[in-house]
Amino acid sequence: MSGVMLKTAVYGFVRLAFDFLGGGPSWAGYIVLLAGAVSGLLGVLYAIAEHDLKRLLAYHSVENIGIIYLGLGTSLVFLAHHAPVLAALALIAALLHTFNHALFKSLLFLGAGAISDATHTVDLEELGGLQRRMPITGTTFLIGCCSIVGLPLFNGFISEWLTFRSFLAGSVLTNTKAQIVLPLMVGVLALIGGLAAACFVKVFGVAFLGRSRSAEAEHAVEAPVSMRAGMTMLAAACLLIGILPGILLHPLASLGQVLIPGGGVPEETLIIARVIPWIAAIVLGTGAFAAFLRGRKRMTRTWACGLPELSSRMQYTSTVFSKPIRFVFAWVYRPDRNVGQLPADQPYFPISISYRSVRTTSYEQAMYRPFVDLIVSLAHRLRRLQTGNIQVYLLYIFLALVSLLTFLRFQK
Amino acid sequence: MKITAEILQVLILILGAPLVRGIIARMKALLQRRQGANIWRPYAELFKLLRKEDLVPPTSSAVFRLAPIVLFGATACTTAFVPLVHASALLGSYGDFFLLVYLLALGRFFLSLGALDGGSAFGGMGASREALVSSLAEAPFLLGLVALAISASRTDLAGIVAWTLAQNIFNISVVHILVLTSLAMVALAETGRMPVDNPTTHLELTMIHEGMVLEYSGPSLALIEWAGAIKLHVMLALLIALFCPWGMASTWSGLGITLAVLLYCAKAAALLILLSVIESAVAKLRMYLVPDFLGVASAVSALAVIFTTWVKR
Repeated sequence: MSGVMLKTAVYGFVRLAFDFLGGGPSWAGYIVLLAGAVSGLLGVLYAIAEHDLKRLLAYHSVENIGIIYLGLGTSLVFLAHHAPVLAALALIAALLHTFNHALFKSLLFLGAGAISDATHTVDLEELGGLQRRMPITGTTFLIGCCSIVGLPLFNGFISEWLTFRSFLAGSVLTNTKAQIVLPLMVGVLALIGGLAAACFVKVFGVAFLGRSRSAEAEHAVEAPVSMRAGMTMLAAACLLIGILPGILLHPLASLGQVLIPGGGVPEETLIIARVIPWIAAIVLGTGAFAAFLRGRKRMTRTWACGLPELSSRMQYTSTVFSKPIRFVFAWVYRPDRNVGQLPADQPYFPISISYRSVRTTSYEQAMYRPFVDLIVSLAHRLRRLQTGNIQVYLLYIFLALVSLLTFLRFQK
Repeated sequence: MKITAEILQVLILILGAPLVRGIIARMKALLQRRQGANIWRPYAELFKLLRKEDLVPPTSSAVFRLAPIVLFGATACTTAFVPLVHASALLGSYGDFFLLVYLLALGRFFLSLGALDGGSAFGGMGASREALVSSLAEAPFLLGLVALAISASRTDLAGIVAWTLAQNIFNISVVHILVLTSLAMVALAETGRMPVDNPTTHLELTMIHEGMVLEYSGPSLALIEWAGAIKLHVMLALLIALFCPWGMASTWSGLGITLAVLLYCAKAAALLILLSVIESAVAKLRMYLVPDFLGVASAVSALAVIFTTWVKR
């Protein structure tokens, strides 16, 4: 659903802004850029604080749509400043990211479905150690994680790289505002990327690695063949585009030419298509060399600081993993913290400690709530018209008729 | 000759990396009035570790053993972007700095996963802190390089270096000073040196990178240590190439390249001495001061980007 539904908005936006309007004033582009930046940053920050896997992935959709709109906004700015080739570059970046997002987000949601099928939960705090029990799901999920984070050799990187390059190209414009704003967006996208990496280290590390945190995760079994096949195909597509981006960039470049007259084929798309296979070869080559260097392995217990055995409760949890980032960005979350302790009169010998931290800010409250409140209060006032008395309704009809007739009379 | 010199650069960066660590350790020892170990000691350590067996926790998965390999592959790949003795590199004409930064991120991502796979609290602690530092360090790193790229009107590192070489040393603009400041701060954070992280600590309250590699041993640890050394060397070489490239060979003659290699060694030695003095002089920052440290770096980088518009005119 996230793979296709979210894209209808992007499709509609592209058709309207590029096809019907053919660009627009530069301030429109800046508004789109701002919306993309806010959506990207808030999306990834909310995602980090989340430990429900499906909600976390949904927040990452918010982030990725933000990245897509960063590309679209850049393209609009370039169009307004009459730089069609660069506009085509930014548009290709946005479209490629749209396509990539459809691939890796579907893959990740399928993985989340497989997890919930096997363990009956999508709460990260209840998972752990799934990679050993569900190797195929784990490996494909890892590929999805690397793709969404935008790591090289995976497809997300290609579109993020193109977006970066289109920001950088903003410096060749003659307009001072564009020269400053567009390159600074590199910092925004880099921050989004860095935080996304932190988030997916958490997701994969807590859900698939280490020790199991619950009995369900302990006894999880691999997903059925049909689910594995779906995930494997999507993962293969992510890798294929990540290593050989040319196969998708050429058709997209011609699409860009259709949407933006005079766009041509941006040279960046050729560069990335040429360099990525080399990098893949070098990384795999040195990796193989490194693997060759290593000899025997021996199983041994993790050092437990002298204690008899480590337990899964000693591992870092999803909440505590994200604590440093939540602490630094506390002004975004404005958390409502609640630490309870039992028994209350013995602070040094607690039997149980409960901790609850809830984010109090949200998009809904800041942006949609005032609007919705306005509509609802208006509706409440209008309800006074509806009395249920048939005579009053007849009066309304009569008044409406009279006002329409007077309106028609005076119109001429 | 061109390709030979470019391969030479890669080999210097990869094979010389442990020496960089050895020199820093020796310099720090001398500053603390200790005898210190031989500067070739890190090589001996790598050989020792490579001959040992790999200890793997029974609860871990394949990711635990995969992580060092990916880390090493990705870090080694970054050496193909950095000009050292000549303003070109193996992947110099195509590879830009976004690739370099993201290859480092690829390695870091997998190392953090490997740390979490160990199943102990320390790995998670290290990975969580590393996630904070690296997610905040990426923006100033990229913005600083963007500022340089805009001033040079080039996007590939080799092109930026070639442009800098053509400039007069007295024409250094404010952009370069700002970027040098922020990149130096980022380099300290990226390579896990003081004051962001203490590479010699094994105290759980302070360790970041050491916490992540605590469960690793034998050849896996050797690969991680080697990759860390390469990363440090790449950052050093990057700073030298971007801000003090003068003396690089302009032709492909053997004599010129030999001279350039010697000059690079001298510059690197000077920078290493500076680094060890800094490491001996400053105390480690409290964990939650690191975001402020990187925030300053980000602000300086952003200023540099803004100033490029005026400097270019």
